[in-house]
Amino acid sequence: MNGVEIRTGVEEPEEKGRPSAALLFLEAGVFGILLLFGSLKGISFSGWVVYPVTALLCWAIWYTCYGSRRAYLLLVLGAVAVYGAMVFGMEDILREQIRYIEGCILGGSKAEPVDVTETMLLLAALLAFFTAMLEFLIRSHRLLYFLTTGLLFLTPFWGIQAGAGAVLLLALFQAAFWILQADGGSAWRAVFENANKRQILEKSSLAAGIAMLTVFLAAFLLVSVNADRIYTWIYQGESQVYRMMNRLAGKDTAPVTGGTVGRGNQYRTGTPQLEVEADVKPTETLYLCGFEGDEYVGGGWSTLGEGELFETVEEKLGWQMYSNGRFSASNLYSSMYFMMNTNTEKAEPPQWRNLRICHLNGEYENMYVPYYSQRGWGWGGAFYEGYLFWYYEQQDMDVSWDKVYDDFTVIRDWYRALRDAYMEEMRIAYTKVPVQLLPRLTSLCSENHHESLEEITAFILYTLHENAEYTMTPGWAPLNEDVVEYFLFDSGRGYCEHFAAAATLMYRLYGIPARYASGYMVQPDAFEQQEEGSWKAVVTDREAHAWVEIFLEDYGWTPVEVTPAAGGGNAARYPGFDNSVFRKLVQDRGWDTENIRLRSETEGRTETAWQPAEGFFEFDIDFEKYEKWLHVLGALAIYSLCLLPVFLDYRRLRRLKKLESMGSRRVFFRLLEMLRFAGMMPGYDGTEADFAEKLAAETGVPETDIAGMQKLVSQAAYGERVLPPEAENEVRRVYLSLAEAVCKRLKRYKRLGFRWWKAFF
Amino acid sequence: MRKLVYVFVTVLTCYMAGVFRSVPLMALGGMEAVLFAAAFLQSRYLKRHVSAEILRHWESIEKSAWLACKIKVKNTGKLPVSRFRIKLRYGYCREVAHAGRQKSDWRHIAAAGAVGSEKGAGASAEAKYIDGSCGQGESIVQMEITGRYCGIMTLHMTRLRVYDYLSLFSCARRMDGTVEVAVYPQEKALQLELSSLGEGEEGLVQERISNTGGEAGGEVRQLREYRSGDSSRYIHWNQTARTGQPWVKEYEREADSCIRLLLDMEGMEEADEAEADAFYELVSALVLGLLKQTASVLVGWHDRAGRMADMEVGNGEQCRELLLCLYRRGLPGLGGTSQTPWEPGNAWKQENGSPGGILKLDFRLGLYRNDTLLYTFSADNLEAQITGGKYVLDGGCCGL
Repeated sequence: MNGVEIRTGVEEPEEKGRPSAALLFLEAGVFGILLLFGSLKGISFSGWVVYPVTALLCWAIWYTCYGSRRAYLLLVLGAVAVYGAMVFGMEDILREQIRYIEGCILGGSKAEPVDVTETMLLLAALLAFFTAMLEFLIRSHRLLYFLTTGLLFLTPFWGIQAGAGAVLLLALFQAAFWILQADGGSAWRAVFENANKRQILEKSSLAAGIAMLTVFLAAFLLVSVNADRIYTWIYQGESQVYRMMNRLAGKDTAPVTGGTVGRGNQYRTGTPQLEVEADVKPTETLYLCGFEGDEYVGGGWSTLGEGELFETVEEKLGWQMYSNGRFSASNLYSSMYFMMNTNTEKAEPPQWRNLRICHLNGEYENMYVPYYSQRGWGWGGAFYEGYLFWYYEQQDMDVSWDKVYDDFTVIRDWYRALRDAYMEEMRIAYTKVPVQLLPRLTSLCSENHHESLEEITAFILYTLHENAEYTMTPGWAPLNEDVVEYFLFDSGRGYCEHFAAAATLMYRLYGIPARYASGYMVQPDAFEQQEEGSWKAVVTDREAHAWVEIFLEDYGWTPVEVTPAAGGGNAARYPGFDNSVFRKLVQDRGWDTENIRLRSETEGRTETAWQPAEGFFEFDIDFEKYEKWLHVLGALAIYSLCLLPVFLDYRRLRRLKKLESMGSRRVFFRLLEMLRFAGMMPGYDGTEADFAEKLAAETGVPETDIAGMQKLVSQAAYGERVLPPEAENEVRRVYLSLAEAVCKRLKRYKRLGFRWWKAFF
Repeated sequence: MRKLVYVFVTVLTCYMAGVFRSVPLMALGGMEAVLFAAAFLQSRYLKRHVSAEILRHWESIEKSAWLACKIKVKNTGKLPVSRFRIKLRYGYCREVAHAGRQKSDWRHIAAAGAVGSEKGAGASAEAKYIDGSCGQGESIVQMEITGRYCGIMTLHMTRLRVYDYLSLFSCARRMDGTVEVAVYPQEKALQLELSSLGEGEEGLVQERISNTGGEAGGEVRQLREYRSGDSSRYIHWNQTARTGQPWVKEYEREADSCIRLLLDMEGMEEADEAEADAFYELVSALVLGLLKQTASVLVGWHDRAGRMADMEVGNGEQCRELLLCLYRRGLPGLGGTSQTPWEPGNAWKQENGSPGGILKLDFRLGLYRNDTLLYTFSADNLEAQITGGKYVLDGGCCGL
């Protein structure tokens, strides 16, 4: 301060009338949230009951908020009492409905919608009350702005697709109260002689509302027509960010691996990750498997661990003594089909191919293995980077268990025994499906019965290709939905991980052992001849891929391509199945789009509930016994929470009223208490000579006012005469202006305590 | 910050709409983007149509009294303005004339700035903001201003900033309006006793026309009971003898009597407002105190150019005029800034170079008579000294 003091804090005259725009936008906010919840799958409510009651309640709260506080208190208490009676009277219904809604939110719902009108009425009342409390009484819009914004952003994660009405109403609510509360944080308010501030703000908010409505409708039309193009722009932006982040983090060179089925879009950076060198140019698509899935655990596959399976096999075969050696069942099995093919008698025995794989980032934690192969040596010189496999292409595989070279018969017999034992065990291990997680997929397979492997493969391909579209940007799947079911039954968009996971699960549901595999798929065209005659391909993350493995007796685990765009054709190709077989089967069966198209809305909800494993709950409390009391306590807690703001407001008003009859000394003590609460003027007790100056500097209240107050209080304390009423009023006036100034300087949470708990102002 | 939050929310809305393929959310994102642009344009539009003007440019108040100051805000546009902000710079201004040029010397007392105010680097005045809103047409913004020190305080409206409805963008336009407020001390008079009243040529009081006789150079107005501090020379012995308790005579002021008071303002330029304030307070109290004893006081001082100026003060109103001249350190009747040569009266031309019966008050609050220091006042305790003391102008204080 430089000796000049300015004040604009002259009290504005109480404006007459109620702000009708405030009611309009309050109802917009509450209706918007109700509509948003109404979009939740699996619920429905009687709009002709909920919306009029909500409108009436909003009106009553608004009417009383801008009217007499006593009437307001009585009305709100009455409303709470009515709702309280409703809660007690319909306790069972509400409990069931809330439990059902909770289930819909957490686990998604595929059932016929259930009527939850009673719960929606309760929700509407709470929303109206809470919103009015914040906007009309506390006059704080920021919290509600962020809450409603968060709600709009979070609901898609719960599978709630907000409708245009809900979005528009919430946007109107947000913007209008933003404008209406525009001066909420202003420390300096001007006083007008010929202008009604509330009317100006109302006019501004209405003008903004009309503009928003117009723009929203135009934007809605525009987006509806060009949705895909706009989404593409978004994805382009997202991919740029993803690539940049990946490059910055140095993750782009790391080979891809893992069994996670992506919930969002997938972007590739095109960074080289592997270098694959072959002695002969491949003629078939080369699948390099880096991950094989064991069990589906919802959104991903657990890593394959066949140790236990081979232990059982060894036990069956009596080979336990070899379990840790070169002749262990797992070691023998890993090269079994390669060895059998090599040692089968043929007129023109095929030559195996050499394949050297080098990881460009120099890390070899995970190996990428071609099918029908075994680890090799001796090609590429004594010192070469990476690792070597000998392998056969599928067309070169021609295993005959009866026609082997004489010197191989003993090993053949071992292999045969191993094959039989493995097939027996594998049928159990690789047909497991968590049916609780996949009710719709389970239902689909059980309703479409097929016997042979060819039929099943054809059905799977047909289902996938008719109901899903290949895209690397399918959008995000809600968190409360299984990603495979969402892909197949809801969105109909996905990439290789979704196709492969869905196909694997369908094979398993039909009892065909199948595994989810991921790694790289290298096309023959990718190989370029080198000067020394070898063929080399640089593999980037664009070649990363996921596919299905099925078990064929003479081939072992064989890749089956089910992703439309990746394979270049519609049908998978494996020995015994190709495009012609697929077409013939489709024709024979008379499958058409109508028969096979999946309808998420009409699929029945599974009745099979997930059962916790034994001992999952370590404590045993009989909640049923105390359920009634728990509900009473819960209802009381909700009542208390509802009543708390009313109580605090009432108490605050009473305290402020009491201030009018309080002596100046007590008012001054209250001022000191207030300053202590606010953490201002520490060490001062109000008698210091520089008290007024310091306090004026901290609060912005004129020093003369504070000094005058100090003087009057001093006279009241030590003078011989009682202060006249005008002086007492002056002390109270300065106290109130100080309280307002201090309140504005506090942090938001402390301000709440200042106003509503301590009731200083 | 608000703008950043808005942009972040808009981008997030579009992103969420994209990844969840939600048309309504995308429309919302689009609407938010359009509103962002519209808000920018609206702030430009409002800026073009809103102006502010200070209604009165000259005011005067007593120290610590509040003055209502009005600013007229005019909106010629079609849209109401939900929020505008006026920037005010304020402080005490004493114009200094040096070498033919004028320089505005903003002075301020260093203190913690209040909320809503700023003290920019290099700025010599504090700034304060006033927020408001206005509809179409004209609106009056009212605020109140007070000064802690005597002098001329200046309130300068420098900028008007207009915000769009969402307060995302703002546009400022320069405003040039100033209100000067003369802050006068409260009318308090020193209790003085002129010991040399009517003592001939060497006395303080100069009788302009004739000495009408009487013991003290005036008619006895009334008798009153003796009060502690009254001089014994005014005791009415006859009445005292009759009643048995001391009575003193109170004289009518001489109609044409005049006291000369010379103000030595050396050091004023370097002093801060508090020191200047003490000096002005004392001048006012001294002149008003002298006016209780005599018809007029001839006050003389040197203006900034070093020329002698004087002014005869006969009442409170003239005392304020005197103070205004002193605030500006100019010549009387010329607004204090005239360069016109001023010829002082002969009253200050002393024979033999002696000041004779002239009172002198210097800037260090020393009161002299004929170069003899009578009293030294203290700036810290001035109010008590003015209201509680009684001063005899032949030396010595009669008590506080």
